[in-house]
Amino acid sequence: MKKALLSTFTSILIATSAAASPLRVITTLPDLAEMVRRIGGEEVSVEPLLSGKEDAHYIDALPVYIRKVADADIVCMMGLELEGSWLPKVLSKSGNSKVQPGGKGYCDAGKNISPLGKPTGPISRSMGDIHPAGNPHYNLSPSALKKAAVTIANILKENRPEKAEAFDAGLKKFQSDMEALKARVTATLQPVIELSKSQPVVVEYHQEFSYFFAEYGIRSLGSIEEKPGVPPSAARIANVAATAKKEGVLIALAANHSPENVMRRFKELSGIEFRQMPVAVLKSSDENNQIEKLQEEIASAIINATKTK
Amino acid sequence: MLRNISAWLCLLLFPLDGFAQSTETPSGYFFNANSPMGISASVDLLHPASFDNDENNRLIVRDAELSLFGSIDHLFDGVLTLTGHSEYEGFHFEVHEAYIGSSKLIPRSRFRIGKFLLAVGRLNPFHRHDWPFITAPKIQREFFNSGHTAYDAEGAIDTGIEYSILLPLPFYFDLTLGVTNGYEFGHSHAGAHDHDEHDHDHEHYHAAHKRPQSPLYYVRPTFYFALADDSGLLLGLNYLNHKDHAGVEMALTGLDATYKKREGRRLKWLFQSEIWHRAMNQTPNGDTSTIGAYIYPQFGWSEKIFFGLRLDAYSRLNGSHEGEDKKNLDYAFAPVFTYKPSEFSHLRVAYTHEVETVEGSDDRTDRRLEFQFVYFLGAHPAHDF
Repeated sequence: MKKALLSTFTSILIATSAAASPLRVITTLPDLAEMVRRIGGEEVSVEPLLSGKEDAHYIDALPVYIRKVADADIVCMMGLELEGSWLPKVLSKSGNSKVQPGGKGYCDAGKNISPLGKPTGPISRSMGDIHPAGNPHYNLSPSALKKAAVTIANILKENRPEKAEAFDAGLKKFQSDMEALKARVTATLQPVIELSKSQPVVVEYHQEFSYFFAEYGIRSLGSIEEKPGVPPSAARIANVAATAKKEGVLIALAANHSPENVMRRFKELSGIEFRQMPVAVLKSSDENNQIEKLQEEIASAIINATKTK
Repeated sequence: MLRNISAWLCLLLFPLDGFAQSTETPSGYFFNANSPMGISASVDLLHPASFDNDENNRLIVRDAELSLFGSIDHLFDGVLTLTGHSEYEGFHFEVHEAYIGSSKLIPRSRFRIGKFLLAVGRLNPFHRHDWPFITAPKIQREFFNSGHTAYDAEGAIDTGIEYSILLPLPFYFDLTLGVTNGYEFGHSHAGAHDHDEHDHDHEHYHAAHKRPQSPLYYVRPTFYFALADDSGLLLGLNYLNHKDHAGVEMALTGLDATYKKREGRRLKWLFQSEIWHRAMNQTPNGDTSTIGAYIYPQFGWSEKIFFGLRLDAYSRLNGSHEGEDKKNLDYAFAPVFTYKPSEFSHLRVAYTHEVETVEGSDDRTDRRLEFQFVYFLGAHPAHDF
């Protein structure tokens, strides 16, 4: 009897302390960490695995990730197979059943967005690193982030139903912030949006800015890469450079981890400036407006190009 | 027999195209956890060109492997790998891996039951085509897998149970324990090469498939040190014990270290090293003590081009050589060039210079060039560190 009472008391104690402590959320990109923080508030403690500087396609399943995921209540990923080369191994080796596919803490933030660039015909590896589920770099689109936020809020509510109201409030605020961001950046980019009606104004190295261009109505010439994930040949660079020059493209954008030598060669051949910049929020900052700052920085780079042209 | 296997493989490979489409991912067609099953095929083509013995200087399909993997149900995962090797009598397929496992049943733990590559040391858990060099260092082929030349040796395989737990500590400490029946440990693919009749330690391995006197067991704690966001060091301590049918007991003690530094898509630096000591009792040569090591630094010139240099050393600390106790040291160096156009193929060229020195005897030298081409079809499981 004494044992039964002790066991019951211990169970209640554990359950109470678990309910009181914040949900431990691990995300892949810092962008998702910021979203979780903004939606979950004090009910969550969140940490991203990546710093935001990496190419999220090409990561090893680092043991340090496995240790962090082992302690998590929820693991949030961009999805659309962005993390397909490493995250499944991390989840499996963590031995944490909650965060594995089908678990309560498995959060695929991209599952409800409308992806760009989803291939319709047959695909094969001869086409490069094609994304069969569509382009996964949706973190530069306020509209896509609004949809991803709904998924995140639903997972938080499922794990902590008693805090549903707080999560709903966080979601509403985040969505409203994204609408405000869109309005602000649209206003900033107005001259470029107007110019886009008659000509392409940007070109990108890899299709990491595509959602940004689509969101704000910026016409892009396309990507310098001929096939995703495959460095372009000299002929391809020359061809894109000649076309970009002829069409009056203002600026070429590339992620910091894209090959700088390719961008320099593009500039030599086309005379068009390039800018390498982050394509994800950086982990180093805990401020809750990094998503906005990143998009404003990209907008600013494009607008500055119109002034220097 | 070969015809039957070929027909069976064709049947299995028939839906490969469909699976490939559903499992492709941006960084390269990795297995999608939402798919019912991954199918992967790999081929390892090798052309050794020895300057000292031209008997095996020909292009061979060293390995052809077909792997099926995925969730069995909501709790268990399964793997089946069939591997074919070029052997003296022809090309033979065998089951290399067939196990059921789970990482969902016991918190912070994973286990597998069946036949698998033993998770002890650095090279053993990886399929040979995933190694950063072409052929095994001498300690690998002497201590783990009795390929009689470097071309044959691969990771140690056996049948049993393996359990790993990630301890709840503020740093990464993963502990693996394994017990296997010991029947296939050190199994040999009798390649088209002369066996080293003088190496009596190989007697231990020729005994494969006979009932061992006790099960094989091993333990491996691993520690990881994150040195920066893009670099880290994995250290493993290893102990393995095996007593074969004749009562020869072998104890292997080892340390392995792996350092990686990645810059974007480029693996800028890889350092990989293992050092092992083997103590054997009751061998025909009496008790023996042997030590060996290799170190392999590799520099990534770009995301596609890699230069590496492997240095090997191996010596009997005591015990006899051809009946006499003599000082000895075997060493090798092997520069390796790798061209990797994508995650799914690589071309590798290595020059290996191996020397066996025994006190009072002439040195034996084996110099060879090796050309390797590896390619993968279908899905590929996600990468380990």
